[in-house]
Formats: sequence, structure tokens, C-alpha cells
Amino acid sequence: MLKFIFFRMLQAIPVLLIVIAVTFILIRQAPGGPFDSEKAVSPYVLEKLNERYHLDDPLYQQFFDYLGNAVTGDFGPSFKYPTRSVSEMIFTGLPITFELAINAMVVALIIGISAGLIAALRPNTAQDYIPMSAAMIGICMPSFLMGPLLVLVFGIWLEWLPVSGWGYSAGDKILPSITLGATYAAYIARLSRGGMLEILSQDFIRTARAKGIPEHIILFKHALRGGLLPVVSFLGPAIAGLLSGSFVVETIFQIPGLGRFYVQAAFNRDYTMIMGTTIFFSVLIILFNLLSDIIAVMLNPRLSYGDKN
Amino acid sequence: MTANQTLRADTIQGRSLWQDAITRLRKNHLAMAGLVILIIMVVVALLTPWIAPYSYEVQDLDLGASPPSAAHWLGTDTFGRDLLTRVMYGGRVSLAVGFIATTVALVIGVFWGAIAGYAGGRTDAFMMRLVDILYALPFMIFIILLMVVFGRSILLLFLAIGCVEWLTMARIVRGQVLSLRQQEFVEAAVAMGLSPLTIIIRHIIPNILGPIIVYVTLTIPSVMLLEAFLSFLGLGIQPPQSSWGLLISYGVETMEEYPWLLLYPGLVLSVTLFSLNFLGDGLRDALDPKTSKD
Amino acid sequence: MPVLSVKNLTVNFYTRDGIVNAVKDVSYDVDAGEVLAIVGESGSGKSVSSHALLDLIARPPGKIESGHAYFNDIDLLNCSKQQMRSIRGNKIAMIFQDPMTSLNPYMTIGSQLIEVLTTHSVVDKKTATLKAAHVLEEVGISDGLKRLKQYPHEFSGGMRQRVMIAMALLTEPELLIADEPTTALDVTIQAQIFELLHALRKRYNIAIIFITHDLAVVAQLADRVLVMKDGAIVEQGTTAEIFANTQHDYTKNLLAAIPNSQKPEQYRYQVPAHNNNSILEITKLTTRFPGLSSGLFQKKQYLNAVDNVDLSLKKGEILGLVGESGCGKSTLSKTIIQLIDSHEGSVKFEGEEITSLDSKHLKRLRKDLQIIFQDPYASLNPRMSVYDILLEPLKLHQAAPKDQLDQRIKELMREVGLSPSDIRKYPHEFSGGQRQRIAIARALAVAPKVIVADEPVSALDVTIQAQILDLFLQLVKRRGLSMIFVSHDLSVIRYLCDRTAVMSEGKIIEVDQTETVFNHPKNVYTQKLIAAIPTEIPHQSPA
Repeated sequence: MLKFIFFRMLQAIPVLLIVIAVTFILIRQAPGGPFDSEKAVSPYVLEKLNERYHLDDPLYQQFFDYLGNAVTGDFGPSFKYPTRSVSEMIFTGLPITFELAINAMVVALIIGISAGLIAALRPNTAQDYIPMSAAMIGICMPSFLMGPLLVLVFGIWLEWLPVSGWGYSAGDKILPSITLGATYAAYIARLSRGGMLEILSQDFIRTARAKGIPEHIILFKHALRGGLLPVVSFLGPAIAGLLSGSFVVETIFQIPGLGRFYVQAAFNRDYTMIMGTTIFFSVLIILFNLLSDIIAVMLNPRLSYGDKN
Repeated sequence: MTANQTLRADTIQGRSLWQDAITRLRKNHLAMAGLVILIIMVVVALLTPWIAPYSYEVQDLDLGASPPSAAHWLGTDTFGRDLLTRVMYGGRVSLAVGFIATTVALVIGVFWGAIAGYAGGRTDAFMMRLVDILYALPFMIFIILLMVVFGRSILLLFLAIGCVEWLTMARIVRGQVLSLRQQEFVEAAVAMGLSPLTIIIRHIIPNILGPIIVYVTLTIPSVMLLEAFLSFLGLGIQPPQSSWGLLISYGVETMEEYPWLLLYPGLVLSVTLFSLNFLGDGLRDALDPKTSKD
Repeated sequence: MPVLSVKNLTVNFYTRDGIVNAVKDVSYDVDAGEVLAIVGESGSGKSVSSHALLDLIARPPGKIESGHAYFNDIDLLNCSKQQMRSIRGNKIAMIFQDPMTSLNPYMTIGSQLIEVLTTHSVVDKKTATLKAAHVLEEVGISDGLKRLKQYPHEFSGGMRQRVMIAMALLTEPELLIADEPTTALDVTIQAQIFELLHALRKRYNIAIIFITHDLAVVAQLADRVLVMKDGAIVEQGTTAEIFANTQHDYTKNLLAAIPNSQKPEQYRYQVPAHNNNSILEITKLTTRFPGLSSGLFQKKQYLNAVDNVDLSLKKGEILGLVGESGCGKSTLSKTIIQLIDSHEGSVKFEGEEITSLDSKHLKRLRKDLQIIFQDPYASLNPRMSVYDILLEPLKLHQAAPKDQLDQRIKELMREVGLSPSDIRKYPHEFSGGQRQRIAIARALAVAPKVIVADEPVSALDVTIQAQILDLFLQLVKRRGLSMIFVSHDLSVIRYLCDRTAVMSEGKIIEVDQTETVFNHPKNVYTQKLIAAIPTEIPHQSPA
């Protein structure tokens, strides 16, 4: 088990290096330097700027400098806002994005798992079709459509909830969390329904019934652990999805989180900011993938004890 | 030839698994509705330059944004452009991205997966480890990076999205090939003396076609969603080109005053995604009788 | 006073292809402490009829149309869910066919055993644990307390079935329903489980409904027998009556189908005048598989699946290769026909070394060496019609002139007992036995000299198995084939094979004339195997 975690972590290192290298090369390949969009800058100033940001060093040296700094959490200053460092901006936006993602995840898990379980209990009846059709709507209605529609209905027409912000007024966290969580709730509902149906058709469930175990215990004690394995494995990719989903949701609801910074940086060609955020997001996503793999293994005794086959 | 034909005539006609699958699919009303809607969408998209009610560029600034009317079925936008026309042209881009990017994913994925699965051993381990590593990359962020660095070209979008989606395809194909390789009928084909190429063509590909078709049907909507997502953020399709994602993005800006500018493009996108997903689910049930056995 | 009295039980399944009458008007009694065997082939309704008693069939598509099943005055088919739960696992316990899938892989053995006790009686956890450990030891699993903490995957198949039996006995039920409990197990393990059931039955005075397809098992264990066919009971009586005085034709067929005799005289191998007549000569053959590496940086370990095997096949004979699961018999047969690469040793076909042929020569060899597999559902490409399946080898090896291909395909179908009018059908439209005939026709298409048959009848019902075995006998004689016949079933081997090789842990431990092996086994393991064959059935006068 420890061996497994150790090896999975080892595996993450080359992935991270690739991420950093690819990001670095891409950014340096970009047509136009970071100062092109500004008003005409005199050649002298341009040279000074390049010197200041070490843009005149050989590429490999820039890379290793950057790598060395990145390890210590220093992603350099923002190109766009030279007075602020990238790390500083990341850590201003992070708590907000993190809270949003957690809220969305809680929404997704609660709604998704209960809908999936309800549907799996009576497959091919109304009890199955209704939650699953709702899930299909969640999948087919992307967050950038659902968000504005929710704003339109609950914010503008009904005036029940605030239409933007994060923590500025009561209830302004509700719509963003639901918008971001809805799609994942739908996926989780489908996954947990599928996983539960698969497990409930297994021989050992019949054994449990033959033993006279009450249905609710069969469901929660015998089936849930295996039935939710697909959901657990999905959590890693879901976190990745939530983070990129935050780009849209934070833009729609004007939330000053990391995702909005990223989109703005992309527009402004704020290269250090893009690189810093990309690397930071990658670390997060790789970590969460690792975590969900570990949990999945822990839930499966055949894997966690080393399979004999 | 004539001998063959008389033979056909005097024997009981068998029903292949494909025929069975089609029969099952026909009974699935949701999937069939999805198929019909899709066909209509594709035909309309293909014929748009000829059947669109207005020209794409025509503005009517005096008219401005107007709600749906007899002259403009879906209304007009703030420049007085006909929304129906714009939705039709946007559909061409959205559908094209969906189909072309999926084709890119299909070609790379099937190639990669089939080779890894059939070669087995170290080749397989190496190829799939690479896929694992790529899987761990935050791709959405990379696509955004690509769009930022190389400019927002539609061609690049096809490639970038295709390059993300092939990973799953490769995994599915490889898994199928691997399990088929262990099937006794493939072993029997080897024992018969067939060459590996013949075995792949005659015995393996026909048997993995089902899962591939299903996956393709389900990849198209996710690709279209990705494009819409990027376009919404302003990082995908660039004006004057248009796509449903871009139209939705414009619609959001003015949704308080002109909600139809958000509702109709959103509705069309959702209905298309619905159709593809229902068709994909229906195909999965039809092609794999086990899952639909109730 | 019967423990269980089933009256007019009828069960239907509502499938998309129409209504299937799985069980038709079945009535029977089970007396206290009695073993009732329900015998039938697949699809006979034997399992459904007993699963229905405990409400264990999927509803829908299943539906109990009518009937009563009185168990201590409670009608099992018309009682409340509460009542049913208090009976299941408490008064009536059940064990299933496949011990590998019948235990929950996510829970320890202990929690699965203990929950039976805590569900059905008010006991504290400690008492329940002790009781569970005690019963585990009673079914032959030592160190019960320790093993309670283990997960199912840490037990072998036989051991898991013991756990299932322990689970069933925990509450000392009055009736045990055993649904093919030994079908998935090796013969020696099967014999142990029988012994265990026999002993436990006496100790607990428990009535048993024993569901099986195997009449030989019935003779050993049952007091009374009930024969089912197509959902209905065709015959019932005491075991002695059934065997001594069979009434129904179907039962007679079943009995006749059991290969419990020596090889028929007319098919036996005739020693030819010239002596040097080995068609296959195998010497010191070894095939390795990478084993599990126990440590990280340890050298990779290899497992000798086939270990230094010497064997020869004479022209025109059927050589049996028998052994339990995992002994390497399948690997050996595939190594012989060059589907798996060997690591050492040689295989000579008609004097020519074939272990290191290039692809061109290998293709020529394939025409002479053919294989038939176990699972007729997996060995045919589901997307090809019979015509295409048989056409492929004919074309590849130019085994027939182009204008006679259709003719040859029809001939082949007739030869293996298929109707040529089914030529356009696809594999899924045939029954298991018919599929195996297609596979045989495919192997015969290129007119091979040697056929390796890898458990070709294990997946088939006994009556079908008997037909296929006779087909093999006829084909070998008519076509002058030589055959290696791989099986775990000793009675099949005895009926079919001239010589028999016994395999264990990758090695051939005994090879001799079949009757010599059966009557005077030399090796201890062979003796154990032969002893484990269910007692022979009192033989029938030919029907």
C-alpha cells in the first residue's frame, strides 16, 4: 500500500516536469512579446524590460532559473501588474476558488449520489427515469448556459438571490455553487447508478438476500462500497473539471478567484501569470488524481492487500 | 456466382448481430428521436448558405434587437442581424468542430490503442504509460494556453481538442483488443494460420466497431461542449466567425433586456447535445444486449 | 411430516422474446433430515424452482404465477417480506454454485458470517464471533478466529465453498438448498465437499435440497431424486428406484449419457503392423510464465506451466490428458500446436521439428494441426455466419477447388450433424452443442492430421456431451485422425481415450493405457483422482 503511494508519487514528478517544460516552451514560442500590446515602447525601455525579466538569457538558462524558483514557490512578478508577484495573486484568488470548488463538490456529491441510488433501487421505472432524465439535462446544459439562466430566473426575474459576488451579500454563494456543481452531480448520478446496478446484480448480493439480511443493510453495507468505486475514481478528474469550470463560473458571477485571474491573464498575455497558474493548477490536479486513486485502492481489499492472482 | 445465389435462396437467412442491434435501436424511441434531430441539424447545417433566410453579414441597425416575429423567427440581435441565420451559421462551426475533432481523436485513438493492444508486452506497457501520463495533464488549461500562444484559429481548435479526446479512445480500443486477443475465436484464427493483419481486419475490427461507434457518438457532444466553453470565454472561435458557444456568450451580455438572444442559441445547443447523448446511450444498449437485459 | 411442501409452483419469465415457462406446475415434498436431489440439464428450471422459494429470482422479468410452498405452516410464496427475511438464512439456508463470486469481496469473512447471527438472533458481537470461528473450524477451516479477519480473495475456491457452508449452518437451519455447490470445483475438492455435507447433515439432522446436473453425484448423496426437464418434473422416486427402475425416457437418456464405461470396442486403437508410428513426438518440453515477483528489486521469477514433458501421440489414437485446474494441461496443448512459445525441448510432427518454424512453414503446419476449444460461445466469431466461418480455412489453405467451396461447406456441416440449411445463420442463433459442432467442422475443414481438443465438452449438458463424444469417436475412426483430448473429467477420458496421461503441476506424472491407469494407478496423485470420481452408478440395461 505504502509502496503504491510512493510509486504513484514518483510517477507524478515527470508529469510535473513535462507540464512545466511544455508550458515554458509554448509561452516562449508565442508570437509577440509580452510588451507588444502596450503603447509603443522605445527600444531602450524594451531592452531594459527584457533585461529585467531575463528575457535575453539563453532559453535553457531561463528555464532552469524558472524551475529553481518555482520549486520554492516563486513564480516571479506579473508581467501585467509588475508590482504584484504571481504567487501573491495566486494566493489571493486560491481561497475563493477553493471554497467555490468545495461547495460545488458537496452539491454534486449529495445530489449525484442520492439521485443515483434512488434510480438504481428501481431500475426502469419512473423512479429511475425521472432522476436520470434530470441528470441528462445537467450533462447537456453546460454551466455557461445554466449559470446565466439561473441568474436570469432567480436573480433578475424573481429577485431571490444576488447575481454576482462572493461573500459580499447573503446568499451570493448559492447560485455559483449550484452552477458549478450541477454538471458533476449529473455525472456522479449516472456513475453511481451504473456502479450500484452492477454490484446489485452480483452473486454475493443474492447470497446476502438468502441470508435474510434486510434490504437497507444490503444496500448500505454490502453494495455501497463497491458500487461507489466508479464515483471515487471520478473524483480526481472531477476536481480538474471543477477547477476549469471555475473559469466560466467566476467570469459569469464576477468572483475574484483564481479562475477569473487565469482567464484575464490569458487575455492580457500575462505570461508569468499564465505559467504560474498553469503549473499551480497542474500540481493541484495531479495531487487530487493521486488522492482519488489512493482512496479507490483503499476501498478495494483485493488491491490494497496485493492481489494473489 | 449462380451457385452461390441458389444456395442463398434455399437456406434460412441468418440474422447478424448488427441486424439485431438495429432492431433494438429502432425500438428505442428516445434514441431514434435523437437520430432524426441530428440528421435534420446536419442537413440544415450543410444547406445553410442556400436556405438561410438572411445573409450572414446583413445588419439592420435601425431595427436593433427585436423579439421573435414573422420576419425574424428567432428575433434579431443588437445589430439587427437575424438570429436564426446566425444560429444556422454558428451550427455549421459547432457541428464541424464536433465531427472533425472527433475524427482526429478517432484516428489517433484507434491507431494507438489497436497497436498497443495487439502488440502487447513492452510496447503496450510503454504506449499506455504515455497515455496515463498525458491523462494526468490538465488539458483544458493546455488548450487555453495553446489558443493564447498561437492565436485563436479554428484549425488549431480542431487539433487541440482532438488531441485531448484521443486518450480515452485509445484506452477503450486497447482494452477491447486486449480482451478480444484472448478470445478463443482469435486463438482459433491464429491456429488456422491466418496472418496477424487478416486477423485484425476480419476478426478484431468488426468486433470492436460497436464500442467505437458508441464512444464516437458520446465524444461529439463533449467536444462541442469544449468548443462552446472556450468560445464562451472568448478563447475559442473568433468573430466574424460564429458558433453556438459564442452566440450564448453574446446572449449572456444582454440577457436582461433581450433574453431570446441567450435562450435560442442555448436551446439549440442543448437539444443537439441531448440528441447525441440519447443516441449514444441507445446505441450502447442496442450493441451490447447484456446491458439492456432487464 | 414434510419440512417443505411445494404445491403447483409455476414461474414465468417475461422476456423481450416472449414468455418463457421456466417452471410448470411443480409439486414435491422434502422430509426432515432427507436429501432430495433435483436433477436436470441447463434450462430445466431446477434452479429457478428453488430460488423462487426464497424469493430470490429477479422480479421482473420473473413472475411466480401460482403455487404454494408450505414451510412449517408458512406459505413461502405468499408471506410478508418480514416473514421471508426471518426464514431466509435462519430456517432455510442456501449455498450457490460459484464460491468465487458468492462472497462479498469488500467485506471480511468474519463480518459476513457474524451478520447472519446478529440479523437473526439477539447476540453480542463477541459470542457471535466465537460461534462463527467455531463453525468455520467445523467445516474444516482451522485457525477460525484468525481467518475471520481475512477477505474472500485470500481463500481458495474450495475453501470459499466451505465458508459458504459455514455461513449456511451458523443458525442451524432446518433446510439447506445447495445449488450446484461443487460444479465449479475440481474433483478432489468436490469429493471433500461431499464428505463434509454428508457429515454435517448427520450432525445437524438437516434436510437438503441438492440441485445438480450430475446424476453420478446424486447416486452418492441423495435419498430421493426428482428429475426435471423443460420446467416440469418428469420423474421422482427414491434414489434406488430411479437407478434400478427408470420409468421416463428422458431419465433413461440422462443415465445413458453418463460416460461410465470403457471405450467402445469398435473404436479402439488398432496396433498397426509397422511399429514406428508416432505422429507427434514431444521431448523435454518446458513452457514458462512470468510469476509474481514478491519484492521490488528481486529477480523476476518464472513459473514452469509445462515442466519437462515427454509425450508421444501415435497415429490414429486418442490420447487423454487429464488433470485439475491449473495443472498446465491447457498450456501444454497450446504449446504443442504452437499457439504458445516453448522455452526448452522439442516437438516433432512427422519427424520434423516444429518449435522454431518461420511463419511460412508454420502456416503449412497449421493445416495439419488443429485445435478445438472449450467454450463454444467464445470460440466462434460472433460477427461471422457459419458459411464465412467455414469458408475462411477452406480458402486460406486452398482445401477445396473454388467452384466446390459451397459444396464442401455443406458436406462439412452434414458430417458434424448440422443442417446445411442453417448455413447463413450466425453463432448466436445456435445452441451450445451446435456451436461446438461448428467449431469441430471448422477444425476439420482443412483435413488436419492431428486435432487437439481442449476441454471441448466441459461446457455442455450431459446428453449433448454424449453426442459430441460419439461424434469424436466416429470422426477419428472415419478420418484416421490422431487426437489429444484434454479434460478434467475422468469418466469422459475413460470413455474416449486409448491412452491417458495424468498431469499435475506442469509435469506428466503417469501415462499408460487408459484401463491400466484406471484400474491400477501407480502414482499417489492419480490414485487420489480416481478415488474422487463419484461412485459408479448401478448400470442400466441398454435402453
